[in-house]
Amino acid sequence: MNDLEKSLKTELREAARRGPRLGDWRSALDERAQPPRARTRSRWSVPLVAAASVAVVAAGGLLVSTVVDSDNQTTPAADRADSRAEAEVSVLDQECDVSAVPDLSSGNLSKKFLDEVKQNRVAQPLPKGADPYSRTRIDDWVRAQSSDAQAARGATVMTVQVPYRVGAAWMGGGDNPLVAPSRCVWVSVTDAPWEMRRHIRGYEPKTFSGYMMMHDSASGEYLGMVAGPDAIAKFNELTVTP
Amino acid sequence: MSTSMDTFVSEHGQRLVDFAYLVTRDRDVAEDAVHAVLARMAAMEFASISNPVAYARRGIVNETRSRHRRERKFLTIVPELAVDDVDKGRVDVEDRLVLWAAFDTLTKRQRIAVVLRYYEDLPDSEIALILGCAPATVRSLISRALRALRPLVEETDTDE
Repeated sequence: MNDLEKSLKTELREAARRGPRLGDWRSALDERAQPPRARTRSRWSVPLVAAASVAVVAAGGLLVSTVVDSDNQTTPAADRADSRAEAEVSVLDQECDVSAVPDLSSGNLSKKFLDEVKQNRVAQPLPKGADPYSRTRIDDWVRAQSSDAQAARGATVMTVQVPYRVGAAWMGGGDNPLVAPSRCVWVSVTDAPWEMRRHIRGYEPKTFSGYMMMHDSASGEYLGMVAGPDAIAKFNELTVTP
Repeated sequence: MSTSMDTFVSEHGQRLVDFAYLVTRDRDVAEDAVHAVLARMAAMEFASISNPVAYARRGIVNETRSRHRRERKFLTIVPELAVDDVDKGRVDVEDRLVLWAAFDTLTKRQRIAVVLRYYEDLPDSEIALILGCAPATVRSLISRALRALRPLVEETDTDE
């Protein structure tokens, strides 16, 4: 076995060790009978919680104030079909680069990257993305994540395109060195309900009145979320609870 | 739930999740795929499955294939590069990053073959059974995968 094969073997074992646990597979027996949307939402729970768990209390305030302050900038869902073209541009958008990639040379990587590693939340650089996501496409996706489909249909979604460094600051967590600071991201805020359903032991399911999500503009990759001001404090407790 | 099924899950369940995760590199897709396959097996008569492990692996491959088609645009960031010891990570984390980036360039079938060979330590004949191809094809897949990985990994070594 050569060096490459040995590295592969080691890496695969290490990755598996840090991979997901089996969990309660019997719940899948019940889920098989549920409509597809319910199952899709359940798949979101882990990434949502993972990102939300690094949010800080300040982001909760921002979530509320952004929704309230920007009402006149948003397009009510009922009128969206008539103003899709206008919705592609927002005065709140900021200059950014849709294809920016981070500088991963070791000099830039070391301390910042290792801090991220230590916090257990890094992976690989985002792809350049051949088919950038439009504002309306992200709006629809974010709206679809609500736990209340009926309320979500009439809910306001505000989406702005900003550099990742701005979006990350809004989300309240540290930024990820594997995403270029100038990379374009969509940050969407909606007042539709979002329910945390599972994946955190000892934490009872709870519905939050609104949520904010961040996605990479080029690839649509999910980058983070915070849910409702109440959630933030709870998430902070969770991050410090062993 | 039959005792056989419970025994099977306790003996092989986590290993199946590991396999699904390495192939998909997505925690949620992996977990959901294994749950779906186990639920399907539980709904069947367990004794009628001649080789449950192979059946489950094959089911996971099929399940993740269809899920990837649907969810590809929303892959989540996963912490596979995390290390317990920061000092240890300081030395090799960039190499590992490159290796995983290179691994992602492989085709789905190549990734499956590589995981089954180097993680599960399966012989060509069993890998062929799971992939639904000939053992010679398995050898070819792995050989091509290593050939694709080598220059990417070695290029970084040279840079350093």
